Amino acid sequence: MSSNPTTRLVPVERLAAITSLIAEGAVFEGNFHTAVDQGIKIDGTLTGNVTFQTGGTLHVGATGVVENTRLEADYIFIEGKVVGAVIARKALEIAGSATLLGDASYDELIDIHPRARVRGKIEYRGDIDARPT
Amino acid sequence: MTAVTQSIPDSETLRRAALAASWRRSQGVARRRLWWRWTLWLLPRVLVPLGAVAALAWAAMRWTQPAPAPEPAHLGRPRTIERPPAADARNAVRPEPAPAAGSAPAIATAPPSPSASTTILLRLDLAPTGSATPPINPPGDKPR
Repeated sequence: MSSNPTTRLVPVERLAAITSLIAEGAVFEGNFHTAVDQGIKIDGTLTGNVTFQTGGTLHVGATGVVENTRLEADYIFIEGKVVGAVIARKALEIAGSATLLGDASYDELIDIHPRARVRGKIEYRGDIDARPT
Repeated sequence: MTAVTQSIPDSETLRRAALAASWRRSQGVARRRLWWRWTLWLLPRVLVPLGAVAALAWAAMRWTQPAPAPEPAHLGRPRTIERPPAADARNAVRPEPAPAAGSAPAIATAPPSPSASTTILLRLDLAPTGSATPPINPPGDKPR
């Protein structure tokens, strides 16, 4: 799938297992919700929430725009623009081409590129005093 | 009439193809946007100061450059006295008429001076056309 050998927090296998796609130029208004461990990639415009009850991989492509949203999934990889709250239960990765206007929280891992544009709070939801195992 | 049958791709093939195309487009856009962000960040921090330093260095080099050596005095003087160009044929310097045989020259040759050309021009301007040129400084005349 990707020839980029860069190590990602969001595993390439998860990104390759994406099952739904909002293509570039398409506009989707409404909420996307599933209880199955699936994945969605957004290259177009989405206005609404995306929620995975369990598991889930959410990839906002470089051309993707998500507005007025609440994104919740295990793995979230943002390359485009997101306006709203982001909750990553496992890993959150914000690329250098990304713009995030809103709060982000994560449970395990986070990676923010130095050139990423983030305006909002970043919150670690895990045990802040937990000893490394 | 022959029906052209084409195999319809199954969902998995379609998904893979769509994802691959999406990856290609996304990578290009992301790379361009990231490059532009780095450029915007680098421009005021590195390139502008570099340009300012280069300009200052250039100005300092010009300022500390030794002045050109002055020319020797004999080279600074003009070698010839230039005459003003003749505006038309009336102002052109005409050759002196040849003196008549057995008579003294009517005009004493004035010593060469920087104003000689001016004198000649004035004399030519005031002299009527075709008449004999009156002497300016007759030999016996004394300055008043």
